[in-house]
Amino acid sequence: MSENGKVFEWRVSDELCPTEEDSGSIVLWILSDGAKINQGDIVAEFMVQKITHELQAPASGILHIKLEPEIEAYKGDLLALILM
Amino acid sequence: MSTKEAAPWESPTSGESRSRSLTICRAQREAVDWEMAHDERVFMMGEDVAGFGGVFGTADGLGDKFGADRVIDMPISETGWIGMAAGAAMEGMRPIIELAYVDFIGVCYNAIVNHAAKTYFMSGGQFKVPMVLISGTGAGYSNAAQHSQCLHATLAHMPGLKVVSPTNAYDAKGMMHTAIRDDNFVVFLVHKGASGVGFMGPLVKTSLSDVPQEDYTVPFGKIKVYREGTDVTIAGVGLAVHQALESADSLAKMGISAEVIDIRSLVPLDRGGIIESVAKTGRLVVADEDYHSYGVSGEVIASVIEHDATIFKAPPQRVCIPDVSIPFSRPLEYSILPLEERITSAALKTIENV
Repeated sequence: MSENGKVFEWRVSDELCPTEEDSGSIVLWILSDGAKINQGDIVAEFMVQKITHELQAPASGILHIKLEPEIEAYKGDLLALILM
Repeated sequence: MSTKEAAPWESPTSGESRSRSLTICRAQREAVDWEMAHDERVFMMGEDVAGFGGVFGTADGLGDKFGADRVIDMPISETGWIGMAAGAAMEGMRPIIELAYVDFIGVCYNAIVNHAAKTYFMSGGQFKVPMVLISGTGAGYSNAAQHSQCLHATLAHMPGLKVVSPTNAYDAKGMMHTAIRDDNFVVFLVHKGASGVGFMGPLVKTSLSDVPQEDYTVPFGKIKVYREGTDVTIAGVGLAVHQALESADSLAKMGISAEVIDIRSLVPLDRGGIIESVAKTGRLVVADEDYHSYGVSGEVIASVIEHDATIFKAPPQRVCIPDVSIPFSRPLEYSILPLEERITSAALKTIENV
């Protein structure tokens, strides 16, 4: 299925949620589960304290969504797996 | 012509085309982006468009991309700069201007109604006004009487301007392309609750759509049939269309088949399309978040009756804001909005009257 068998764990970054108290949620996944994504693609919108951030793919591969929209997430929580 | 950098999703390494689920504000912004990149006469002007990207996300990133000469922040002095934009349009530019809340149309109404809308007529066709006015409409989030109105009829009543209000991302992008390329003055209204900005709360799922990457147009003057049905037509404007879809689900559970149509173009109005739907169902509910009296809802009903007064199996119904100012209090506000329960009740009234 994946080209080199590696799995990238895409997590909520320190930039999005700097402290342990900060939380946010996916507004929507622009690209769908199972899509082939490239590093830098705008894949989702993530909202922290009413500010929406565009999430760019940190790696290229097949997107496997692990966090559905509107669910509260904290720093380090898994957003998606990218099969590289 | 300025050159446009490829957006990330246009990367040539992307391989096969992928479907993208977009919000209304993102989709309409993509059309503005495309038109600005392909036509240097197109520019954007409004409150908080450059630095903030538009209060409702309509210009996000455009200020950085096109610079301060083409995405211009304006003070709260709409009389001046909307008049200025109309003048620029008459001189050959193609301005896109943003008035964040349609509630404030009053302060620039003269520039809109007496200049932008009438100059083509009064100059005997010598001056066109190819301008797009973007504005946010609607209630539902306790923003009180001065930040919650739709004012559809206040605009659609006036000759000389087109008024459209898309309700999903696909239409928003295609209708924005149509609006910018139109040589006439177009007012482009989007309900704030359906626009898809995160801070307005959970997204309206039925407002999201797969949006092609390339440019395309959606013509004005055509209704969109969201859901086909045989027992009652529910014609909606703006967010009320999404409430009408929920109502159709409720009615289906009672064995009633509702057809949901989106008026989406108030001027020009697709009277033929509406009549065709009502001819099939014989019953009509119009759901419009504008005030009840003297509104688009009355115009839609009158248009059907003028065509054929015998078409109705039951008296048509309007589900609108009762003729009161919109309250701040959430329970009071929700009691007057054209929400699913009120639309369903109105639809049942047309059925029970048989």
